[in-house]
Order: sequence, then C-alpha cells, then structure tokens
Amino acid sequence: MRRGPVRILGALLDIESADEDHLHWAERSFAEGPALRLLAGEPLARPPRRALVIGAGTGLLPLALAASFPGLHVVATEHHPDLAPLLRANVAAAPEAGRIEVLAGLPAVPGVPLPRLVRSRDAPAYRALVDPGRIEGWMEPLPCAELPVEGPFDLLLSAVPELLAAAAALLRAGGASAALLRAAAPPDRETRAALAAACPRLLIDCGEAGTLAAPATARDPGPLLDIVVPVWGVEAFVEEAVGTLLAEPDPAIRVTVVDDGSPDRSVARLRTRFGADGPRFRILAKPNGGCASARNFGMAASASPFVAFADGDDAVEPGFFSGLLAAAELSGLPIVQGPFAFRRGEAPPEASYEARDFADRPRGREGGGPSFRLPAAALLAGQPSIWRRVYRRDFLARHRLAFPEHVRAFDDQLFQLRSLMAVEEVLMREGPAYLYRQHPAQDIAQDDARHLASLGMFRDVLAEHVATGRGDAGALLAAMIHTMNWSGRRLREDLRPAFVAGAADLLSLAEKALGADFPADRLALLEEEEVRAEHAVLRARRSAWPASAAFAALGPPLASPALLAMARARGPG
Amino acid sequence: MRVSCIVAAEGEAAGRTIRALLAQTHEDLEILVAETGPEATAATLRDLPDDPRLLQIPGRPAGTAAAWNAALARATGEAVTLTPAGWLRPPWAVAALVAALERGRAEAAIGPGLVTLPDGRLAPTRDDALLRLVLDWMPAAEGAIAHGQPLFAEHAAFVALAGPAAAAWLLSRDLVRRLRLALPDGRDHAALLLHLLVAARAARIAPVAVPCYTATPRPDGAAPDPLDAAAAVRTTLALLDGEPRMRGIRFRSAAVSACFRLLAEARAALGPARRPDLDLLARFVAAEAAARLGPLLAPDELPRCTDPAALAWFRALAAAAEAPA
Repeated sequence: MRRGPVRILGALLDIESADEDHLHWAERSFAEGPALRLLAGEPLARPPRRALVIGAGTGLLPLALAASFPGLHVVATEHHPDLAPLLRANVAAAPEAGRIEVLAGLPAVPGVPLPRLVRSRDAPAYRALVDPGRIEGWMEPLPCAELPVEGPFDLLLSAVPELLAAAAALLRAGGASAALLRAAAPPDRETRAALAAACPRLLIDCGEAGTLAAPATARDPGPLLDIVVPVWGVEAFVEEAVGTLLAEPDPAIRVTVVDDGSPDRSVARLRTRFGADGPRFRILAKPNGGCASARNFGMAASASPFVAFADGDDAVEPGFFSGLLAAAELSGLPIVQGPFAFRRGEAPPEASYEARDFADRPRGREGGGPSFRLPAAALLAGQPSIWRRVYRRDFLARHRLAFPEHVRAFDDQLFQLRSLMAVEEVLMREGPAYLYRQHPAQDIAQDDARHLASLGMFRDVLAEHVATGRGDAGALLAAMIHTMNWSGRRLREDLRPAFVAGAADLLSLAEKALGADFPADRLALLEEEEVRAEHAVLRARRSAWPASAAFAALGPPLASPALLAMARARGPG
Repeated sequence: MRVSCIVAAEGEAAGRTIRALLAQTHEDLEILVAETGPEATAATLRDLPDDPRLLQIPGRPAGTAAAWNAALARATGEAVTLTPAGWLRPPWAVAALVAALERGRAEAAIGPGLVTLPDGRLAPTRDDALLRLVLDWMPAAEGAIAHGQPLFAEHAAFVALAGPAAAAWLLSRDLVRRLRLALPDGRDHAALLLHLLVAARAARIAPVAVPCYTATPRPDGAAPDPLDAAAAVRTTLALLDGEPRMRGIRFRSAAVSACFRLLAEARAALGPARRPDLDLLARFVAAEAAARLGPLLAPDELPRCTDPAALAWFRALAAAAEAPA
C-alpha cells in the first residue's frame, strides 16, 4: 500500500508502507518525536558521516536521514521477515539508494546474546512493540540472520527495545556522537551513566513513559535533585520532615537545609539525628531574611539540574520525590508535580480538592508511573503549593524565577503564578503525596497588613501577562479574586478601607488593561461585597477612559503595608 | 554628629561612590553598603580599602529601593544620606549638610547638585537656582525654613520643586522614623516619593548653598520603564493626599509640577509609538489627582522652574484633569 508524501526530518518522502496503519504511524512518530529531538534539539558535534538504524521498518527513518544529511552513509537493518523486503524496495526506489545499505537481520555484537523472537504481525497495537510485558503471546521464533556490523558510527538509532544491550555494546565498541535508543522501561541510573559515557548526546525513548536524556551531569558528581528546606522555628516538626525526605530511595537526591537564623533547636536536632554533611544531606546557614531568601539561598548554593522546595514542618510519603525526579527526567517538562494532602494536628492526612477536581483527567504512564497532564492555567487559581513540585533549573534561570524577598508575604504565590505562566502544561505524577501541615502559627493565617501586599503582587503579574501574553487571563483573574476573598475573610477591620479601595482599583485597572479580553464572568467569584460595590463605582467613573494595555503599568498606589504606614503618618500643617 | 551614608552595592560604579564618601571631610560616618546580589556586591567591594566605617548589609537582588530599605533599618547615625550608585559627593558635602542641619536645628537639610554632561563637564542641576532663591528669601538668622513661619509654604513649595534627587537630602533619624520611611520595593522613581514626602512633612528644612552631589546618568539598559513613572506619580500623590501642606495651592502646585516634570522626562525617553500610552496614563493620573485634591496648578505658576515645553504640557494636563472626562 502506498502512502502519500510525508515530511520527516526536513525530507519529503513517498514510500510504500506495510498494510498496518499503526506501523506507519509508529515509524513516523518515532522520527518526528525522539529522532527529531536528537537531531534538531541540540547542535551535533559534527556533521554525521555514518549512521546505523536498527529496526528500520519500511525505511522512513533511514531515507529521511539520507535525504537530510548530504553525504551520510546509512546502514539500515531490519530483522522482520515481512518488513525487510519492503525496506529494500523503498530504498531501491529512492534517489539516495547508493548511500543506504540494507541488511536483513539483527546486528551481531560479540559477546552480546540477541533475542530470538520477533513480534507477530498480528500484535494488536504498535505500543506493544515497545513494551514486551504487554505482548506475551505475540512473539514468534526469529527466522533471521545475525549480521556483523562494523563501526564506528556517528549516529546510532535503534528502534528495538529488545536490542538495548546490543546497541549499548555497539556504542561502547565504536562510540557515536549521537544515539537514540529505545527501551521497554527506563533503565537504571548506572546503565544510563555507562551509556552516556560512551556517547555524549544520548536519548533513550522509553515509550509511553517518555524520553530520557543522559546529560553530561549524569557523569558529574553531585545530586540530580536538590530539595531545599528553609528552616526557622520548626523544631517540633523538622526531624520528621527531613527524615521523610532522606528516606527517598534515589541516591541522586540531596536534602539541603537552609538555617535562616532559626532561634530554636531545629538545627541542633537535625545534627544530632542526621549527623554531619554528606552527599545526601547538608545544612547551610545564613542570617535571618525570611523564607523567600532562604529558598533562594539554597537554590543558589546548588548546581543540580533539578530543584525542589520542601517546608520544614511538612513531610512526604515514601517515594514522592523519587517519582517526581523520574517524571521530570522522562517527560522533559520544566515542572512536574505530585498530589498533596492536608495534615491537621494528629488527624490522618486528608486528600486535597484536586482528587475531586482532576478525577476526570485521562490517565497515562508518562514519567514512568501513573500520570496525567494538566494545563498550567488549571493550577493558577489553586492554593500556592510550590513545595510539591520539581523544577528544571535551566527553566528557572531562563525565566529569572526566584522567590521575591522584598514582599515578606505571598512570595510563594508569586513564584507559583510566574512559574506556571511560563509553561503550557504540568505533569501530575500520581501516587505518594506531599503532606502539607496547616496550623495556627502558620504565616499565611496572620491577619495583618501583609494581605495588602497581594494587591501589588497581582499588579506585577497582570503587567507581566499584558507584556508577554503568558498565562491565561481568566485563570489569573480567578487567582486574584480567590486571594481577595481569602484575605478579606482574615483582614483586620482597620485595614479594610485600604484593602477594599486597592482591590477595587486593581480590578478596574485590569479591566482597562485587558479591554475586550477581560474575563468578566470571573467577577462572579468575588465574595467581597464591598469590593464589588467599589469596583462598580470605579467602573462607572472610568467608563469614558479608553481601554489600553498601558493601564497595566499602574496599580493600587498603597498596595503595601509600608506605604500604608507612611500614608498614615501625617506631617504638621 | 554621626551620619549613616547608604549606598546600594550595584557594581563598580557604587565603589566609586563609596570612595568619595570615604574622602569626606566629615569623618564621623558609617557607610552602609547594601548588598544587591553576589556579583554586583563583589564588583562594588573590589579594591576598596579596609575601612572600619564600612558596613556590609546583607541583601538579595531586589532593586535599589529594597537595598536602601535594608540599610535604613540598620542605620545607627543621627542623620542619614542616600547616594545612588555612581553618584559622587564632593569632599565638603556631608559636612555642609550637617552644618546646615545643626545650625538650623532642622530635621532635613537639602543641597543642590551638579550633573555630569556627556563630554565630562559638570553643570549645575536645575535645583541650584531654586535653592538659591530659598536662601535669598530665608531669614539668615534662622538657618532653616520652618513650618509656621511666614512664607514657609512658599519655601516648602520651592523645595518641592527642587528635585527629585534622593542625594540632595540629609535626613535626621527622627524624621526617618516619623515618616515611617520605606521606599516602594521593586519600583523605580523612589526619589520622587522621598523628596516630596520630606518636603511635605519636615518641620524645619535647612537649605545649603554648595553642591552636595554630582549626578551621573544611568548606563543604557538600566533605565526604568518610562511608564513606571506614571505609577510612581500616582503612588506619590496618593501618599500626599490629606497632607496639610497639600491644602495650599502653591505647595500643591509645586508638588504636582515635580510629578509632572518626572512624567515629561519619562515621555521624552519614549519613542513616538509609546508616547500616547504615557499621555493617557498622565491624563488619568492628573484627573484622579484633581478629583481628590482640587485645582492642581496655581494660575501664576513659576515659569522659571521648568522648561516651557514641559510647562505647556502640564498646563494642558491640568486643564484636562479639571475638565469633565
């Protein structure tokens, strides 16, 4: 059966496929996915001259490589007795035929036993081809030859997960500047490090779980993930918090405690319990500057490719961060997260509202475990929960994401808003939960003037949205209103007039700045009647002013406790 | 009198500022170097002498205002100065300001400055002429203009016009506390707010005749977003709302003119495509201020205090502000 022309890796190809749609789809998705990422995601060290494609199928990938890289010589092997003739025919019909050598069989590597089975053409789905655990009953004896293949190769692409060991042996024997291997399941870190040592630019396609990169840091000393734990006044909880983090089975995870000038025995307890600094645990000290400054300090003191932030009065269920690290590596997403549960006193943890809100999301196994993707907008209005996430450090650096130290309140919410505005999706890895402790002494429960700071924070967020287009306006407005509702319930009475005036002003300015894009339906979420009434007054008063993005540069003028205090300190007449 | 001199550690330029402070004839100083991030701080401190008067204040990259606020909280001197990174103080500057403060028994002293021109020459800032007018009018024996004195509002109005430059001031610690002074973090144009707040609230202000600072322009790329000037003006006018001195048309007019002057400068920094944005915000802020404060500009506005083009612009803004929208 002939398929129409298809564009792959920059080449326009017209080839004959097998009569199963799924095979053609599978070849194409492999080429347009992991192979494209390998070849176009980063510059190659040098133009490739020889490439080996193991499991070339009907030839989509070898033909695309030959067409895209002038002068490239490709050795294409295909061991399936039905596919090998198709491969030969497609290659013979192509202009690049002289540069493609077809071998019907398996590449033989001395000392590496090869599988003796091949997948039946009756296998129900191509996905089965990458997960041998799902194809029992669909394997048949392999009637094909073993072929000696001589390296070295500049590119090695193997689409056969059963041949991971053979491909690895070929890499080690001859080396390659770039390789794409396929694995049935994510290989362990030692295997990845060994593969990366043989090939500087390596991707491992783990099918539904995702694609692993074996970055240079896999060979560097130091952890892959640093969990930064700011500590101040958490003596009663910190041993449990750090203990649950250190119970993580992955040795590539380190806990970095930042002592923010804690006045109690938090640090002494940690030293007694966990001893001196080591590869998985360390304590840094700094003068007191607040939680934001401690998190930034810990982040700056680490070079790990991934970073997370946990609080010193919380805990995690076993495997929480190990699972997130695997999900982060496999998905490549800048932000991955896990579920969280509330802990109140000694009561058992209570699952968060997300269990209900996200119940209908289609599930998969991306990231190596049960998971689903969420649009970032779905998380903008939610509770600030930066501690149940793992972030790629390069993503944080590129967007200059850090915790705002001058705010001294809502700093984690601002970080959450800005980080989520910079991504389209977040991967939610189900399973073990982050256990979030709520108690009366918690910072956010204080009914003080810091509630005003949220107005200035949302002014900044609105300005960033208007300037960059990042983030969903509806979700941002919902987040703003949820925070107004939450603050309004806790505000001291003497602060209400300033808060109401500032909140109404902010809503009005957002309306002017967003114009027709203002999601007016979200105003229904507003519970603060005084704010609603004042907003209506401002809307009428400002109706003659045109909408303009310039209004995002303004903000409630007294949206900080310090400014409000200055305003109240009147001078002499 | 011990003076706390505050400088944000914003790189090598700040190092020059600190050296100039170390060379002051008034020696009873503590120089608070407010950190702004490891690289900038290291560049600031490089090659500085080991002087016991230097005190490093911990901080993170959060802008000039945040650095100044951190240092203000740690200042122990009886008076405080703020000097932007790269600006220099002539050796006599602190001594002159202290002498004026003490002689006039004032809460704040203000002095004119010089500005560095592109060719390296120095020229007086516009404050110079204004402050000399104040000195001419001020009874010599008083040494300061004081609330309650005749023509105080006139003098305070001139002071309001003579700025904004944070470096122009020496503030008593008592005044800083009374002001609850905390500059808006993460915002530019904090000098406008500081200047007008001091002019509005200080009970006695002592002018100084000699230059007290030399301003240098910011390097390209470090300039704030011009539209932020509108936010700064809005915040400043909101802070001044309800101030007793703002009830007087001359002071109010001077304060508003200082604000509009900042907007005019911001407007000049914008390309033609974005000027309508600032015009819109300026009209909006002016209308809001007029609704709250009443007439914004005195009929006999002081034409000496500003350039004609800018004055024409503010007159138009004020007229539009006071007309129905």
